[in-house]
Amino acid sequence: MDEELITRWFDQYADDIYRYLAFRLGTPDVEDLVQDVFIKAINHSRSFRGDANPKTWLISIARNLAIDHVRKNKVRDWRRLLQYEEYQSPKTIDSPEYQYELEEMKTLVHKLVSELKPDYRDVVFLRGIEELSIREAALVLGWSENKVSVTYHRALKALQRKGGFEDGSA
Amino acid sequence: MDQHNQDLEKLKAFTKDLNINATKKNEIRSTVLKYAEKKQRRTKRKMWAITGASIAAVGLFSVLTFGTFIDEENGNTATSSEESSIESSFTAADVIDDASVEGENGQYQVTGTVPTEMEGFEFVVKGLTIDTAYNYYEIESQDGSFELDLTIEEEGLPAEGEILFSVRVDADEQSIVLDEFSEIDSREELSVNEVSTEQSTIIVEGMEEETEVTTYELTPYGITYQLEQFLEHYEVEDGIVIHHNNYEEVDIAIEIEVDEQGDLVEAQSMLEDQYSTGGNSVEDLSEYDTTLNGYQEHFDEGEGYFVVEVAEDILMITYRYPIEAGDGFWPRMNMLIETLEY
Repeated sequence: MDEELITRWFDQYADDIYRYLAFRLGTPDVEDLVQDVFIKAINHSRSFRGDANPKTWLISIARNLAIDHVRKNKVRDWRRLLQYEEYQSPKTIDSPEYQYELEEMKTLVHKLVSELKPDYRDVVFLRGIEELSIREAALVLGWSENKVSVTYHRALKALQRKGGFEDGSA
Repeated sequence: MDQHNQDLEKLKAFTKDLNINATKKNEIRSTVLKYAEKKQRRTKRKMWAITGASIAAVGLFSVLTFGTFIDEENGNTATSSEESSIESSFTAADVIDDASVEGENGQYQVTGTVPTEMEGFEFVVKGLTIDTAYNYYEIESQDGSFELDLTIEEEGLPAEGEILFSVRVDADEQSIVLDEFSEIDSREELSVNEVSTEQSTIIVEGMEEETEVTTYELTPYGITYQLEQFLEHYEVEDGIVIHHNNYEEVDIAIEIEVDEQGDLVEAQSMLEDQYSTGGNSVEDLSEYDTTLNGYQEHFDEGEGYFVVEVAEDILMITYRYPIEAGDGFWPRMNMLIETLEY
């Protein structure tokens, strides 16, 4: 893989990969894994299909690394993710309404990161947050498109059960 | 915008705020680039190392014979190969001297020498379960020799059939067989069969209830268990049997997976990792009327798992139910665990 290409990919997708890993593992301490993703991409560049989306390919690598990482280290420190959010984004708006919304958001993220199954976290991140198509999410996860749809539906239902979605529209 | 979309928007906003610290990002970027440069230098060194060496023209594959190369400048034509096509200006053997399996499955080395008029060639591996793209390989050695190390991930290798290494120059393309695979273990995929149905009783909240119980068998493992009619709906998806209540009003499901010749402790650890917080302690199955070894862990949110050693295999059972359905769920779950046989 030439340096120009990997530089372009890094500049374009490093933050996406970081967000995915932080969301998946519930901790902001995933910088080393981001580096591992790009090292692995260099080593396995031949398996990249020229017509594929680099972002989905890189997220696939990140997912495999995250699974390995969880097997080796039990990552459950979602609290640090919330602390990180407070640290990274000191907001100047301190209206009660804004604070209420912020707390509500944190509660939701807490529920999501701490209680959802990893598969559900994956599919909510890819479909719900990154807005990948069903086909792209299926490629990343190595699932059938049907499984992506069904699992996403179940993930939203699980969120609803846990009180994340209150109107039952999921 | 409904509540659902609002919540997703909040999640998006929260997630988008997560970015790598700028200093750390620069450090990672620099490390990655250095690695890419180093990797490229290594590849070049490897190519130059074989410059001038005589490459034994030994084809491992019987389908290949060295031969035809049409030299358009002097009109000489070498011996014809069975693999050559009339329209093609080269054969695979003109380019490839040797292809061999290095170590484990998925590691290959292809060596060869390209004719002097070629600056390089495109190549691709065909027959994998994942699509691969053409890559351009530029020859930098003085005598045109090259050495390619290919690594193919295990999941890309087919269960049976051939994978080909194809070389393309302009419109011409020639291939050699890189590896052959045959299905050795043709074990059946997991399926579930209804063996029998009978009348029985279960105790829900201290009250005996007459009900219908079905005996199921997991094929090809010969493992049987009973479930009450409330969970009579089932499907098999990606090697997992899912018994459920047809997702009517509430979502109640038991998922059963077989870890062939697995390890009980590893399976328990793996399942524990799938859940995050709120778990009670891991317990053995002594509270159940079963002689099978195993563990269970329940989570406060109405989820949990069992791992049960059944002959040489491990059954991994996960479940979920809404808290309010717990009284009705557990008699059915107990029935499954206590009727497990093989």
